[in-house]
Amino acid sequence: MTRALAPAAPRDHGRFLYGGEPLVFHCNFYNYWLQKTLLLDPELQMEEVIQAAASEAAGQMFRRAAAALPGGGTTSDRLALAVDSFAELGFGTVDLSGVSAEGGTVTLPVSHYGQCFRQVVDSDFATPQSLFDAGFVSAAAAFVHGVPRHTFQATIEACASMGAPSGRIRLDATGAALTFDGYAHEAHSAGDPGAPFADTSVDEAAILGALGTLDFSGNEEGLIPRFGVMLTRHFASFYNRVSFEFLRRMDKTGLLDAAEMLLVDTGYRCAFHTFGGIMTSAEWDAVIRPQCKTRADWVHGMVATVNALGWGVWRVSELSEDRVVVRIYDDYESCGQLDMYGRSERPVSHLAAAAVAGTMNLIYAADIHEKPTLDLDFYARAFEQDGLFEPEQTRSMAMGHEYTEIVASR
Amino acid sequence: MTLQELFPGKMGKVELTRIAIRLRMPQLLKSPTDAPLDEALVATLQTALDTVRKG
Repeated sequence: MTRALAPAAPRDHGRFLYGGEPLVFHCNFYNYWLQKTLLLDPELQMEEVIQAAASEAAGQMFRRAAAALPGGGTTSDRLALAVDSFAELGFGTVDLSGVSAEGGTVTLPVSHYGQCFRQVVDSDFATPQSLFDAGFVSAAAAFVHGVPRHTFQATIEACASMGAPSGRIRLDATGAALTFDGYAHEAHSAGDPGAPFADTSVDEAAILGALGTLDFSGNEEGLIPRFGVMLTRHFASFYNRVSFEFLRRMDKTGLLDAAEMLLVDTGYRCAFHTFGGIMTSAEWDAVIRPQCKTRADWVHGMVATVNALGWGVWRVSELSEDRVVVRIYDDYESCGQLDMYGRSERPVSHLAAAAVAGTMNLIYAADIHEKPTLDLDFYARAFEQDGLFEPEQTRSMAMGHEYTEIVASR
Repeated sequence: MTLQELFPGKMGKVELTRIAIRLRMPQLLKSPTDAPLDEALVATLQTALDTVRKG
């Protein structure tokens, strides 16, 4: 399967750019819980923000990718790039043939935000969940037909999340209701992460090498089924925009702390399903488990794996059965904050904080080495235990520190 | 009915936070969890809980 793709390249501090956009791995459980949180308060109008953030990230990627095509590419070149990028990154399959510069209808035979969300809740949603798709296809259609990115307003007419056999999105050339303008992506930490933790039998370089041989391209359906979840190679700027806009809006309601707490909870879901899936996978058993003699080694094995996710460089600086200190260089949340809004007065790395504590909970409290079934009942039982690790963001690149530091203790 | 009966345990605390955001009621997170709630508020919370628990 040969796809027309944007230029892609690894960058320093664990980043990976696709069409100039940093990509990060996240699964359908994280995407579901994040969106569920974002949409809690209808007055925040986060549906528009999600669509605009998707359009922003995809549009910036398309713009940079076009620069690599001779003469900006033909219409068919750009169409192939748009359709193939959607599938390659795990978002599903999309048919843009019914759209012109004046608008039209997009169909989505398969959608991560449609079919894969239904896998999480095992029932129909009351409202369409394919908001990301709507933003992506509005930017894609504009790119293909050479009109400004904000040309189209998208309306979701059918969505697999609600039980429709496929998705359908109408594009009208009336202008998008909300737009974000994109921004440059910089590495912000000048610090040297140094070598991985020395006191372990885990070989991070070998793990990164082994993970580098795995194929994380979307399959024929444009999906990435791995580790018991559906992965996406998603735009970091999308996550950052929707999360920070959510917090900005919540700041006016007196519920900012609560909103941050829910973003951490969303991160716990990510750690539970994605990290849990990784640590119970055949790939873990083949490559990493044989290197692990102690539970501490499991932590180092998971940290090594995280360093392949595009989340920045994690370094364990202290580890015991009751406490871990992880320093993160260029965590994507801090980078996004600095790029989009400038220096913050509060730490912003809620996903990273939850991921560190969630890793410790899986290894030291939930006995992940015994391969429990990672269902919601197990999550609830594990979450209700006493003696769980709680994270604290003790340093933050978004606040001007050299690295972000997460301390998780119990 | 009290908040801790409606929202038991740590999972309940997270659900209560979701409800507080859903209803824009920050005072819910500062209220004593063992104080009796009036019936109208219980009904409001129950309805919001049902909505939030759905996909």
